Amino acid sequence: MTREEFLEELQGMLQCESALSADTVLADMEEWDSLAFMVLIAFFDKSFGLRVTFDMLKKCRTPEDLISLTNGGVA
Amino acid sequence: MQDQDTGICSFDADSVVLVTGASSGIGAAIALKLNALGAAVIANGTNVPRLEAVRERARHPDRFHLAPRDLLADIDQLASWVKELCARHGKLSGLAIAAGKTETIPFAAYERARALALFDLLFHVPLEIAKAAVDRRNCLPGRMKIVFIAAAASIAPNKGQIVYGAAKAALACAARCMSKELAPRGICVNCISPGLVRTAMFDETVALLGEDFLNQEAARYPLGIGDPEDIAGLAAFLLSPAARWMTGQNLLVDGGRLG
Repeated sequence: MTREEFLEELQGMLQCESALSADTVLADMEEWDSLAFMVLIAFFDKSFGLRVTFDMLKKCRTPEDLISLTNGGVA
Repeated sequence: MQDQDTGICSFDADSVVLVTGASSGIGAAIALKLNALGAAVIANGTNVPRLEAVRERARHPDRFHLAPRDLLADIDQLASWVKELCARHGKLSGLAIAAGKTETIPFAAYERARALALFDLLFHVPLEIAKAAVDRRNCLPGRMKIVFIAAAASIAPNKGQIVYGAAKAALACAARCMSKELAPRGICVNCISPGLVRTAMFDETVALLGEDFLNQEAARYPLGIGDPEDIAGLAAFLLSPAARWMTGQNLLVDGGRLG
């Protein structure tokens, strides 16, 4: 998956109107909540075969941090 | 907002409600009621002439938009269909799912393939549409209300309602879960479970099971068998701002039969 594809997927999962960039501050978005975490956990599992946790997601400040969690799954 | 003088509930001018199954029966009654109370309605059904006939009875036909589609035709495309409807008619303030059909299949005749087809229509289609409807890009913030028409069979199935009742019960359970997930966004999700109501589906059931069935059933309804309007009023209330503190319910409306 490319970075652009990841950001598009993320926008879809968070259902935001405007495009996201890698340095968007997630905590500033009302969509960034525990339900979004559940959606992302399923997404990481399905797309990368990775098990991420609430704690790991809470520590992510930006989409860039989420990309880092994919362990090279996003190129 | 609420006008104390217009009765129990009314709708702001920017209200847009998608109603499935609006070409007949309970869906048509809900669509007409909402339209009369001031909401714009997107009326879905499979039969265009029948949808047009319903629109002819609308108080505000200019705010009664037709959206014909066979909901089973391409389930994976329902999300983009909802998105297109919102782009054309405005973001949604409500969703009423009334499309459905009944199948009388006793347990001895249960078949997985047939059951899956019924679950598609009664469970997966409503969920696909609702999921798209609550997408932040498709609905008005803090306004969205969802009503699923379940069935009394979700609580007290008759013989032959193994799959129908189970699919409706699954829908009611999903709605309850949705209500919890969506409450932080001010979205309310409720089910109405009607008993026997005089619709085309009712006629079909009576044709299949005979007049004896009808007479036996009618005897169990202290207030008689229902009419679509008996359901439409409650649906309109649940879709209106007046119902903002009510969510996660499955309301049995069955003329006193009580299961």
